[in-house]
Amino acid sequence: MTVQHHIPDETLLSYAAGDLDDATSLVVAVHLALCPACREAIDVASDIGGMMLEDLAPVAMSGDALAHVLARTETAAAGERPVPMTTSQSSSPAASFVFPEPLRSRIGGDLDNVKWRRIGPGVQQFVLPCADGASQARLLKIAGGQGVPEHGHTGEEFTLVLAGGFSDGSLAFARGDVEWADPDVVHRPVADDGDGCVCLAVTSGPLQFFDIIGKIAQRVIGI
Amino acid sequence: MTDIPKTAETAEDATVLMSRIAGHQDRQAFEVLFAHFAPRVKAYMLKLGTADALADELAQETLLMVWRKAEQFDRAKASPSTWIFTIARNLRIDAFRKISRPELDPNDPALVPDPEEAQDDRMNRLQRARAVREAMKTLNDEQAEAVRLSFFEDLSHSAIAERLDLPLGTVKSRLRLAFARIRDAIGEDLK
Repeated sequence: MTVQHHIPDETLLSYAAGDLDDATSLVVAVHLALCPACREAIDVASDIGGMMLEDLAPVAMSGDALAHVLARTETAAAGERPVPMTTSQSSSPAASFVFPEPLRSRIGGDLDNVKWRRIGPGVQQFVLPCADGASQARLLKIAGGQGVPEHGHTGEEFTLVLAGGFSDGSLAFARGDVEWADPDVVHRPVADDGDGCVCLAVTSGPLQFFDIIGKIAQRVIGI
Repeated sequence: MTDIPKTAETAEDATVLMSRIAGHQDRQAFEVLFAHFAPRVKAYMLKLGTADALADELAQETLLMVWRKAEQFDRAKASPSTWIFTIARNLRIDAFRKISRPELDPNDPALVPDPEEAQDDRMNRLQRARAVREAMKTLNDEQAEAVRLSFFEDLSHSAIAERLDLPLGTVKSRLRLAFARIRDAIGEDLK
């Protein structure tokens, strides 16, 4: 099925420019793996970067720079090439990975390998390691019919569906779809009945819960 | 043997050089490509606040990567300058982070493939890069500045807002409009 809800254009542009923090880059990259339309958009945004690079006034390289690089091409070790991470540590057959790259590499496996931690009724999470503290990335596994308590945001929130789906008001989100929320949005996503939902959620500021249960949950689980 | 282009000033010549490097490990072609791109990659690193010695080193790394990954270039769906830009951008980010920049893996079996017709209709990558260049000229000053700050000042949306003393929403909408204009101009119906 085609992705219906995309990463906002201005975020795609910033991904291509290299401005996004690690966690936000991760959710964009995983969406790209699932969304050919946004890959096209990224190719165009990268062309802007290429054009700007082309137009820069050149700055002289150090005198021996070329010789250095040529010397190193001689020793171009095949071992320095990136080794694609594929089936390692995962029991899934290749074609049925739930997590696309670069998520599998980050976790060191697929859905079966996640060490979930229960954080509330019907809700489990796994906090992903990230290179900077600007945003937080976590996997959420929400049981069918369960919701995240109604909340607002102090920053941006991206929620990417990896398995199952959820709805928020009248909008439905399935694999590959991203729900984007900023500080003006107050919402209450609910996982679809049945198998529920596995999501990658990235938040750039603490969530703000409006009811007492949410507030307690926040204190206990540190969302 | 075909003549090797003397410069990499045009995307067509740069593409010829890239295929010489990929197909024949042609050092002479690499030297021509290096002469054009290394000083621009260094300028890019300096623009983004990298100290001179590190900027030089990262430019060397970038061109070394161009040599090593040359055979992947054909599949990169990009003009040479775009492809080299993405390598430089990633190396810069990786130099300052412990975990490498999240990038999709085009060979990942979990990747949702491009629709067949999109592959056929896809604008030639050099045509597309040219169309983007033309479209950039049609941006108003405010949009162009927001794009420039994104690519050359490494600024997040909120940092751009702070720099220009504008509401965050204004910065986002400028970037969104700029991007929409460029995509419209190259005639892509992306979504």
